[in-house]
Amino acid sequence: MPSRREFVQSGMALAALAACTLPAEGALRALEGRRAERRRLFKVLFDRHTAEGRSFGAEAFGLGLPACAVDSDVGSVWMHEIEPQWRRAPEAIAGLTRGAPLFCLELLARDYGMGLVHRVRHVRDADGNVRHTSTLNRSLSPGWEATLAAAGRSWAVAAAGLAISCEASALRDGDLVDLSLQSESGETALYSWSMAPVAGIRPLVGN
Amino acid sequence: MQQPPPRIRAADFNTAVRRITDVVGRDWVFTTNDDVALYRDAYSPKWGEPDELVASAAVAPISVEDVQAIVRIANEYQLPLYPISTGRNLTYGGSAPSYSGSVVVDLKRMNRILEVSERDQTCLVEPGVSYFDMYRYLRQNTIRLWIDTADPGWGGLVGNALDRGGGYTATDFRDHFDAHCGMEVVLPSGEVVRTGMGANPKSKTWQTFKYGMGPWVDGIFSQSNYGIVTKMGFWLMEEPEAALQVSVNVPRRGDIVPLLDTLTSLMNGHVIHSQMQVMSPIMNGSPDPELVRLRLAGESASDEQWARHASGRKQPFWVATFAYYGAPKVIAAQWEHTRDRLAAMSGAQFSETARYTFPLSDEQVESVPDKARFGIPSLNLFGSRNAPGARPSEGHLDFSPILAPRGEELLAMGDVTARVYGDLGMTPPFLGGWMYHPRAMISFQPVPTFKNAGDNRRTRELFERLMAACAERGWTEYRIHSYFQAAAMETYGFGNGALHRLHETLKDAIDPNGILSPGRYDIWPRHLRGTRA
Repeated sequence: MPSRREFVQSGMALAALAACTLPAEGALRALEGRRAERRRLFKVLFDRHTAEGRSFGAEAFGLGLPACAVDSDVGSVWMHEIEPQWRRAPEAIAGLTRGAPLFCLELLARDYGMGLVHRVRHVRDADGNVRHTSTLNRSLSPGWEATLAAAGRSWAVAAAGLAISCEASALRDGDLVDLSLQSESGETALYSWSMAPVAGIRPLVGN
Repeated sequence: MQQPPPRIRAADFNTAVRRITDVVGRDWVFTTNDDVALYRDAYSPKWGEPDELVASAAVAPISVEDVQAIVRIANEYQLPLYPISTGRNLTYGGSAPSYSGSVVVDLKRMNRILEVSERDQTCLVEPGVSYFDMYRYLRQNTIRLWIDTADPGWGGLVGNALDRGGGYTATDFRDHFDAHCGMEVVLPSGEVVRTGMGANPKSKTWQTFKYGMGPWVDGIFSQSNYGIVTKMGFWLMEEPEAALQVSVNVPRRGDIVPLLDTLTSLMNGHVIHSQMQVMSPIMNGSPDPELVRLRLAGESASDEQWARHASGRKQPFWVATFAYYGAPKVIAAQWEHTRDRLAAMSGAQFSETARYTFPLSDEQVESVPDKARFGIPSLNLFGSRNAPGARPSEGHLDFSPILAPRGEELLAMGDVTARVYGDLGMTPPFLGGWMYHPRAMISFQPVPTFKNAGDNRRTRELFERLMAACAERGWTEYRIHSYFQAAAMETYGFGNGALHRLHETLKDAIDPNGILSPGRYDIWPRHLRGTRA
């Protein structure tokens, strides 16, 4: 029986699903292999204010993952859902959000033995094309750029597949998201990302 | 492995770290570059430069006994320690030490809520308890008490109070240090003291009566380096029946003088209990050339010129925002009285922006836009970190001078600081006043920081010039980033620096080996005076 909070969050996800654009068939096929590899994710956060965020959330929701719409303030989902779970047992999360909420989560995650395994910046240039740039000091899974490029306007769906299916263990990484880049084009950048337990690190906060 | 602290031999450093490891266990000592890098200040104005303030190692004790053992070992080797509670404190130094090479004593594992008394409306917590933790505890246990949260709410009750942070609810709780009652402190010698009534082991009033007997020493443990606070009591606010959030708009630049005079009178008369803030939508608009010209003109820009600029913009010149808490009938009377007192101001407009009856459901909590004002911690502040049109920054420092809560002072502050920005070819930021304290105002200005040395050099120059220009007018900071603490302390220089000498006299007496947070708020141990590392 879902709790009231879980029910509300599911309602958000359904509303987002109704509002999002359907992904291209080609992009979906390209992701099929990755879906089979996806690991357990405790939570998938998506930006409620953008079509790309909602597409990302819909893709996660369609894969049976607990998707949760967020805005710039991730305080509530942190306090009531992520932190209690990480205090019990750190589990991976992923998302497509703006830089500021990601910055907060990255900083908070460190005390729970969590780190980034995936972070790609998505920003629309003056011609309307979306540029995808890895901003993590480690190699992402091979072919991520080609996957996003092939997805075209459905890049958010492809980004969900990549973030959901990436590695299950993080390295310690001191680099936080570079917020000075977040509105370079005059439009807020989005980041697809995934966090996982850092190999061999005990959380500072936990039971 | 990081470099040992200056003046500490590598062999001694390694021995000290090994002995600390024996105390807390291998899992809770961090010495690799990757681990220690996590304690860097993400907003550092010296990011990546050789003299960036960085730690050499970190240790995470879980008990008072661990802390005692660590400081005793540190004393043997003159090993500098830098305790942090939850370690957020962004804009004022983050979790980075004030003296490079210090070993961070990370107290996040000491995160127990030791007691909450509904009857006394108090709590006793360890330093790792965050505002999120405490709020969740009260909600889950249906305890109808409020915290007064810092904004953002990821900080800790103990750390924020010790750095004298402020909040948004009623007067008795907003000044977080003032709202504490009793503390337990591990002194640099390793001895544990309890302040106030805590010194009587049988006392039932440790969290309800502050003073005990003899000198009240709690103050020396805030913004200082005389001890490691391991427990702290706080007064909590009884959840009110209702709340009303309101705003008062006034149309002219000069209205700020009677507006602030009246509102501070109402605050001191206990009619308005909440934090109050005043902002100018006209002066804070998207920077257009006319606005920038007027800001940079300072005192020579007349009220008439400002009125012409404001005309047609359909915005008030000033907006004051505050709230009432209590029984609905009382709130209605307070609001009516406030409007009566301001009625003489031509063109004043009064708005009720939110009305709540408590307790709120989970869904209602989610929909509260101004959460901190109702004791709800959030991370909402990060959503507005870059002003429209401003060059995006990596972080910022808070420039936080204290002013008398008078309109003349706020206008003068705007003029003085705008001139500093103009001299450096920069656009002045917003102008506003925040009243966490009923008889003083803080006029925050965010000064952007970056991840490159060139931009940060300009940031530091701007910050130093702001400090100097404001100090000339008697406006000095209530709290400041570690990098600027020495310069700020110089502005408190009465009696040829008598206050600073007293701070260091205390340091010599309490911490003769200078192991705790050397340089914090410019308090240096004898053997490091005149140095910075």
